Amino acid sequence: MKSDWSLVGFTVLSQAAVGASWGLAASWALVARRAGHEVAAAATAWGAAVPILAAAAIAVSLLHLERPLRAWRAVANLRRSWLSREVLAASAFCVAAATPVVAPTAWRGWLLLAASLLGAPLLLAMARTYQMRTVPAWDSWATGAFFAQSALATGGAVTALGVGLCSPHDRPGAALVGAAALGAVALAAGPLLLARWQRALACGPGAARAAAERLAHAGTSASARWVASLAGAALLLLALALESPARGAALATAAALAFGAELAGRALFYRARVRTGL
Amino acid sequence: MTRLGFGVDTSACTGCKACQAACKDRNGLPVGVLWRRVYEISGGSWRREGEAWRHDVWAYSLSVSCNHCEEPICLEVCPSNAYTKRDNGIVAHDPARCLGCGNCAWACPYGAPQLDPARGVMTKCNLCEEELAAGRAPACVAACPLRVLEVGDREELAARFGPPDMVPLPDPGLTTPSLRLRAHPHAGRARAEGGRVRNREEVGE
Repeated sequence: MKSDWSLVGFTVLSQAAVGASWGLAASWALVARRAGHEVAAAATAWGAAVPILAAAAIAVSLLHLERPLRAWRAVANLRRSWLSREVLAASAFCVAAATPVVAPTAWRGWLLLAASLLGAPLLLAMARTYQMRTVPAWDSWATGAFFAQSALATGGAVTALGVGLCSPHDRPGAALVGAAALGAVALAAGPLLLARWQRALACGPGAARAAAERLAHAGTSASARWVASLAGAALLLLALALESPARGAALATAAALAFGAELAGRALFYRARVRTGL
Repeated sequence: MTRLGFGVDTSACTGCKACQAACKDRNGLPVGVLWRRVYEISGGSWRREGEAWRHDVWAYSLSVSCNHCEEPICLEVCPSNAYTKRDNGIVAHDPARCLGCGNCAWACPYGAPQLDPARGVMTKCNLCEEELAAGRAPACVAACPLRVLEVGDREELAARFGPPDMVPLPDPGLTTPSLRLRAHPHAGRARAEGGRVRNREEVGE
């Protein structure tokens, strides 16, 4: 019940973890496993970033609770509460993502792939948690779309960074090109989704219109969302044309911009929380 | 089995807030927490009649607490199972199970669950269960000087009162509240002209 910032951090970090698991697992399964080149090592070694992001997300979420020592009770209402299911899914994903780090090298790719499959139910539970019928701005298609877009944008950037740093070649491989392109497209889609959501809210019932009004006066967050998204997307693509070590620096900056863009976007999402009724 | 709810005759309520004060006093609520709140709704403006300008300002008050809904959204969204729907219709909250996540406060369209910052848990109206068990009326009902506030079986109240669809209440279909109202004569104008709550700061919104 404290500041929304801990939940902004929780959702963005969890979605980044899910997106990174998808990107790294796909890199391993589609490119590295068959070719047997260094991307296999990158995908599995950089896979350690996934449980770190997921664990950081869970730790940050505790800051939201008035009684964090009772956090274990948050899975007590699995029968009815999507929040309970979200907490369970986030914990299961975190544990599953950590297993490749401690497993024998030969198993790591397969375990990463298995962990990435748990990302989808986590994103679903997250979206359903926020789709409350009494908060019209959230009870919409946009909630799931924002969360998936955020996972692809930050996950693509983290994957590109990992593969880029671990690849010794100057010429970008298929895994790096794929991850960077996916991250760039998802990042650029964020502000467009936001604009479409805002237009839909403006035509909705009273609480939705009030949310649109709040978004219209968001100021810095909205500008930061646009600038960071477009700059991050451009830098991800530009990095493909660069050689090491400039490429690594460009990818790291792009990843930082991706996180900044998604944090600003999520702050706007929380700003639109206008409940119907009293 | 009796399913309890509130009935409010808004046509007779003067907005004295004795119910609000009695609830706060009975439950020892801290500053900023109001389990029962009296909303002041008003509207109207000036209009020209020939050479003269006259006003047609109107106002009414609406006393609202937790409505012990039949489909309580607080119970649906609470991750720690802190809410229970009792057989008598009361939606009870167990502070010992509460994490203070505030998800219920986000979801409830009546603003019923409120955080007690000192205890770090959500709190809400329990329909003065102890008073009811002792055969007495809840504090808010007992304190009302005009007897516009009642507690009773929701079916019996439904026979004497209308549905809870006055401004500024939300669509009752969202949570099926155990609240019945006798509408104020200006309720229709409030809906048609967009009546507004004028004491938002007082009721903590």
